[in-house]
Amino acid sequence: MGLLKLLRSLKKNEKEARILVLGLDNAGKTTILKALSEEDISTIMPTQGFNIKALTQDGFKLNVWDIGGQKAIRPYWKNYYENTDGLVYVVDSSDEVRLKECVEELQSLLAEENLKNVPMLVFANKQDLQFALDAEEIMSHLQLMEIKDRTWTIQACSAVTKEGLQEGMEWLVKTISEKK
Amino acid sequence: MSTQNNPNQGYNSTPDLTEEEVQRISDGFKIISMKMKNAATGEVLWQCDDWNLREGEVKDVRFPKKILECSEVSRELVFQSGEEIKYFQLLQRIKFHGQEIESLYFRFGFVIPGSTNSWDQVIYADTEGMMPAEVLSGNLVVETLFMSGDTVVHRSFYRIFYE
Ligand SMILES: Nc1nc2c(ncn2[C@@H]2O[C@H](COP(=O)(O)OP(=O)(O)O)[C@@H](O)[C@H]2O)c(=O)[nH]1
Ligand SMILES: [Mg+2]
Repeated sequence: MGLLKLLRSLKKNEKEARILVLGLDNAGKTTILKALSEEDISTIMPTQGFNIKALTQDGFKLNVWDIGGQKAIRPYWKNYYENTDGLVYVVDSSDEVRLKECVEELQSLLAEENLKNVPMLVFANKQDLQFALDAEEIMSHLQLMEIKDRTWTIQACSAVTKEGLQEGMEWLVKTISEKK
Repeated sequence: MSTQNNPNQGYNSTPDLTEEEVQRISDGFKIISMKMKNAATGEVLWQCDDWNLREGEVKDVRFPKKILECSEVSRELVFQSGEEIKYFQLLQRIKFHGQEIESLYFRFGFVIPGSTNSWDQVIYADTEGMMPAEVLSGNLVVETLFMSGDTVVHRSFYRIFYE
């Protein structure tokens, strides 16, 4: 498991890939990235800017950008869209109260010119929690079936148990490689 | 540490900043911490949370020798910026006995005003061809230039010892 393995699967076709991880604050974006790197996830602070995970090997690069999701930071998201090869949208599946906000943010992302045709992975995160909605319910709330202009998938996952993380990221990297 | 990417890939030209703008960015810029991790296991091998350097000062850092045995090391740098920066980029030069042996370039682009950011770079090491710790220790200096476009807003140095 891990990002290093992803880089290796990318290497055959790619020189560089930029993956952007977005979603509401508290969705689990930073925890997912730390978990993918086998790091401690017990002391993560709310992100007040960006977290970059950069991998370089033999001239091949994978850069993953996790941008803070608090309302005050969201207006800055657009500064990070350019040259994005893959989008990860993380949803807290246990937070029904904020689902509407989560849908609205996704809708406005999908309308962005700079993110046009960019493949998207939706992580239905926090599946370890008892009252989490399952991936199908999240899919219908987010109206994913109506997306026609890009390749997308939804993956149930938990950053705590790591279930689903690698599968989701592998799908995205593979999709990016095939698209170019 | 292995050879990284080509440093000659910065912005072609960016708008010039006024002296005051450069000063403001520079005053508001601060490195918060640095961590070295075994990228294969996530284990933290070394950490420093007190990175208060005066301009030009060289900081001595003491890494455990076993860092040299890791084939994948990850280095996490956390920094704050009070000001917005539009064309943020970094150039790092590693010198052995004063001679540059490696360089690393990274383009961040936009930095949010009042932000705390982290940059975690995984470095692949050639553990086979690695010089012994005794030879390297005290003779490696890392210079890091943080730039807004072509203008340096922060410069830091550290000298590596292995123990
Ligand atoms: N139970 C559970 N908690 C999670 C999961 N992922 C993240 N969290 C918690 O949710 C909170 C927010 O996580 P964080 O990664 O900071 O969210 P971000 O704002 O999207 O980066 C933290 O307390 C995490 O421990 C998950 O899969 N399951
Ligand atoms: Mg975060």
